[in-house]
Amino acid sequence: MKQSRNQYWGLGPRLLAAALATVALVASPSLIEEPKLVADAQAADVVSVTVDVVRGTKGAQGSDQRSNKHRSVLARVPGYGGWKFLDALNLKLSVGTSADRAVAGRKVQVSLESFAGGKARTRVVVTDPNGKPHKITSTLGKGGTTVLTAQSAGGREVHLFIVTVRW
Amino acid sequence: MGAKMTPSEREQLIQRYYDGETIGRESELVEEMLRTEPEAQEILEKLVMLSDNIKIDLGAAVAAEDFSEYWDNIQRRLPEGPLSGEVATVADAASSAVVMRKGRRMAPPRRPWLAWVLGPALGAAAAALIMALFVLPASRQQAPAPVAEVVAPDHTIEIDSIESDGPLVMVMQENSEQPAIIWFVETDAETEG
Repeated sequence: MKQSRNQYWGLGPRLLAAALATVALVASPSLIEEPKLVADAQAADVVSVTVDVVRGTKGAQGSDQRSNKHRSVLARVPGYGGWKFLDALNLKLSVGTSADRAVAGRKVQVSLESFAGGKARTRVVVTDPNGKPHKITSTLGKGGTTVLTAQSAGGREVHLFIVTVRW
Repeated sequence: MGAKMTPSEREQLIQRYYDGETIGRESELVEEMLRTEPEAQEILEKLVMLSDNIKIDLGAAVAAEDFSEYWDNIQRRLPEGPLSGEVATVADAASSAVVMRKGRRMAPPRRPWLAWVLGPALGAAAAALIMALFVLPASRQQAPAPVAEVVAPDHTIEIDSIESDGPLVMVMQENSEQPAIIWFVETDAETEG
């Protein structure tokens, strides 16, 4: 006649719930992987282009904290120092698209011209304060970086446009 | 000795004798009083008569009483939900002696709807915990751990074209491990930033 509280939790529902939970957990990796594959396929057509803009002054020394990640590049620009990180452009480009940004009196435009065979061809246009464009079309592999160094006409400053492509 | 007692004391002593509450030699005293004093005899006879008058036929009274209302009152006071062991035992013993007019009130309590919800939830939680603790780590161990692919980026650049109105353009690249530097000089009439 003594009635235990456990009798209220039927064994049947518990077994059913355990079975459902097991099936759900076993099936979950496949449910996660499939959207990931779709996302990878979609991402394959998109190239991430990062443009870091750093300014250096002739005869100056040192660099700020954000510029330090490019110190190996900065060390290869002789005669300039006092590096200051001005801006970072994070662009997601598909073939045929472009993006631009005005920074430090210059305009930077990046276009993805092609993306095939593990190579991305980009066209970078830097328009100087005098309104004259400087166009560079080049091809880089995954993770490749190129540096556009724009020296002012008087030579007092340089602006580095550090372009990296990833996908 | 009985002659020294007041009438009230004598009556109280006889009453205690009748009730069996005398102590010491009080019983002998009362019995002597009863043998020698007519008044003591009368007191005792009154007590006997009074006692007989207040006697009730308990059997007849119980038969005449309807206890069903009592049981209904008890049922209304019982807590809702499952019976504890003690209450269940008492109720079972009582049910054999009392005729239930509303037997459905003693039916086993219905399982609350919350139990149907929480029961599977607890089962699922337990299953998930077991999977997380044992099954998933084992499956992870079976799968070969992905080797971290540390590949140095190739900075080799293929320059397709350079167009500049500036007086100078130069390209510097010592090797593929370092980014190329494309150096150009901006045009005159600068507004340095």
